[in-house]
Amino acid sequence: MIMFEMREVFRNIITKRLADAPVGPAKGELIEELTDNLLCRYNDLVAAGVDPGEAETQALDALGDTNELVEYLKSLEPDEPLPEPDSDWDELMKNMSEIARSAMNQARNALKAAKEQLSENGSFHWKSEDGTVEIQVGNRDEWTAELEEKMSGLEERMSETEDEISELEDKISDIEAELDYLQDELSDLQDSLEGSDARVSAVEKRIASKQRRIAAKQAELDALNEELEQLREEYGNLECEYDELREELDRQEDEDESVSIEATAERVSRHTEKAMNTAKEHIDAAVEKINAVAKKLEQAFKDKPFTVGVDVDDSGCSIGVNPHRKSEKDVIYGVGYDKEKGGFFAQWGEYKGGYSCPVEEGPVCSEALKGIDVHVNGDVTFRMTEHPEDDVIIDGDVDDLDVRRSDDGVLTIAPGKTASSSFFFGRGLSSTNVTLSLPRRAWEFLRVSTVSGDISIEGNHEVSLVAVKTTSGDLEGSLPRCGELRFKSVSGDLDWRGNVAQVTAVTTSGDLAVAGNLGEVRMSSISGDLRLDGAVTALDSGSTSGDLWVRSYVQPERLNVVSRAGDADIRLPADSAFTLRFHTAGGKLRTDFFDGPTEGREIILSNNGGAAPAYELNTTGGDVRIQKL
Amino acid sequence: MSISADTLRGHTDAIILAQLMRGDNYGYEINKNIQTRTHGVYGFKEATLYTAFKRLEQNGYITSYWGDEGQGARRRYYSITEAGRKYWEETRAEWETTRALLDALISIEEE
Repeated sequence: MIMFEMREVFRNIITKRLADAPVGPAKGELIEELTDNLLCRYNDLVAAGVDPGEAETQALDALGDTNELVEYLKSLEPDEPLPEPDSDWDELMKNMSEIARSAMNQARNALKAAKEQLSENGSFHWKSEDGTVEIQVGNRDEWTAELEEKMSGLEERMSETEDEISELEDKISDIEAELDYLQDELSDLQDSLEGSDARVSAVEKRIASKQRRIAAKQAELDALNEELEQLREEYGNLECEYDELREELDRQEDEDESVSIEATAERVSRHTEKAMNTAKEHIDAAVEKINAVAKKLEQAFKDKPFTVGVDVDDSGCSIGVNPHRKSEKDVIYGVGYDKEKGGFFAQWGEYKGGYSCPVEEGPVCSEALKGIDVHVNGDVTFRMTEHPEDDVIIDGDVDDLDVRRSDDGVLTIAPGKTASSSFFFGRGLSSTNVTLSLPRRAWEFLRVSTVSGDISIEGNHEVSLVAVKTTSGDLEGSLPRCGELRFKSVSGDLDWRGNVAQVTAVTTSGDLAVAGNLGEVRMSSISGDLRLDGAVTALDSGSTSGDLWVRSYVQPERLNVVSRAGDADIRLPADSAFTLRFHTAGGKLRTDFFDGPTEGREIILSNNGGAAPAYELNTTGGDVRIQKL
Repeated sequence: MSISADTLRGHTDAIILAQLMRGDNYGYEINKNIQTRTHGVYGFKEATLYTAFKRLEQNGYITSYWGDEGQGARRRYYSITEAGRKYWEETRAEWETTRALLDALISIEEE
């Protein structure tokens, strides 16, 4: 075993022994010192001609009882002041929720009132883009309709006037014709004045009568002419008014639909202006209430382990509450206006994963990036570049991806937000392949979820957590050091090489294989086979029909194997000392560690006087073979 | 020859301080020197050694610092303080007295 691996073996074992001590720099330094000492001792022994296996055993034996060290580490003050435990934490959280909820209701009511106020005075339009807010208050259609109605009334009146004028003109024409006739009659009568006095007298009477009728008709004609003149004047006025309205209507139709607050204020009537101001006041009041809540929260929870942040912009206001506790999630309270939220909103909910913003095309600056989240359906490949300061390069079907970077250093890669991509991604139909080149340095996590895509991780990165979830995709990886490896799949296979402090792998039918210096290992499958090769500190495995194969160059501190029909084949260092408890219904045990009988349903064997560690092997029908290396 | 582990365990602090009276050193080397001086008969378990280091450090008898090895693993060196020297002298004097008493009590030489 090369030196690097030996160091890892010692570090894993020491870490395990000190597992009960609180995590902190003091513990980390102690682990490193003890690891160095054991490695020095091992090297000295090997240099003195001691067999490497024996040297390892002696070095580990020199570690001694670590309980006192655990107690010492427990007694240390925390390196940084930790939040004081709050016995009334639940009560505080309840109070906070109540204060916030009350404010939210008030804000909601204020916004509702603003909306109603605006609705009563016509329609409104509010848009927030590029940090500006534009409001158009008043009913544009109503405004136009009013003009059109007025014009229509004028048109009607003009038409009526025209009819009246026409009627008068006809009447005048009739009277004029009658006058002509009367004049003719008068002329005829005057021509017939010659003759007897009696006849003359009669004619003169008729002439006088005709003259009176003519005078009357003339008077009537004069009156009609006067009325006609008036109607014509009125018609002219109506025509002018109509032309003015037409001009205004045409101007209205030519104007841009989007108008500024100022421009609208000039044009809208007084009552709509008032409504607009009232609406603004309500919005300001709602924002003020939210700010008041923030202050209350800060006062109520002063010196308590969470902070409150307020963010106000043109489209509204929101409060973020960060409890600073892993068990509690951040909460966001917000009010405002957002078209995507359907207009006015007042809501609260959990803050999920930090604020993020889209990443522009091209390389992504890796500075302050701590982890990568990838959620795609295609293959995902991680590669390493040489320099720690290199950018992150994303290759593949990048046009179909939404790449975002959060303010807490997480790069998220997911399918684009088009309707079609969401639809297809949701059904596992769309496949998007991604290759990520990461700079060579320590990463907090690489998390991947995919349906059928295969995942490949290779390089000299140090990663604290690799978490992969697939339906049928395989994970193949090799890293020199990984804090924790999590793999979950229905039918995908796992093939991992490297040193891992903690492995958790679960599958239904996929095969799981891990090789390297391994700390705590938990593996389970229904029909898939499990395979471990290297140095295993502790193993818990379970399978229904899958077989287990283990080869460990160090003696595990714990071995717990449960299987129904699957067989187990375990190879351990020849000098391993342990107690074996084998329970089975029909399985057989074969071992060269013990001389005792290996037949029966419940077998207990020991080569260390019944002391720890005790290995538990339980099968229904599966056979177990535990042999010396 | 069997040795009384309990007897020696009672003097762990004095044994370590005696090593540091010879100069600053790191954990593995201190333990190695102890084994060399006892011809491999006695040496501390790592856990015992480091528990003692922490105890002595908390009592102000020793201090520690990271060495600069240039290459290879960095090592933490331990150094005895003035208080540690005084404590070692007291402990040593006590042991001299105890040893004289034990010699007188256990020895069966003719008086």
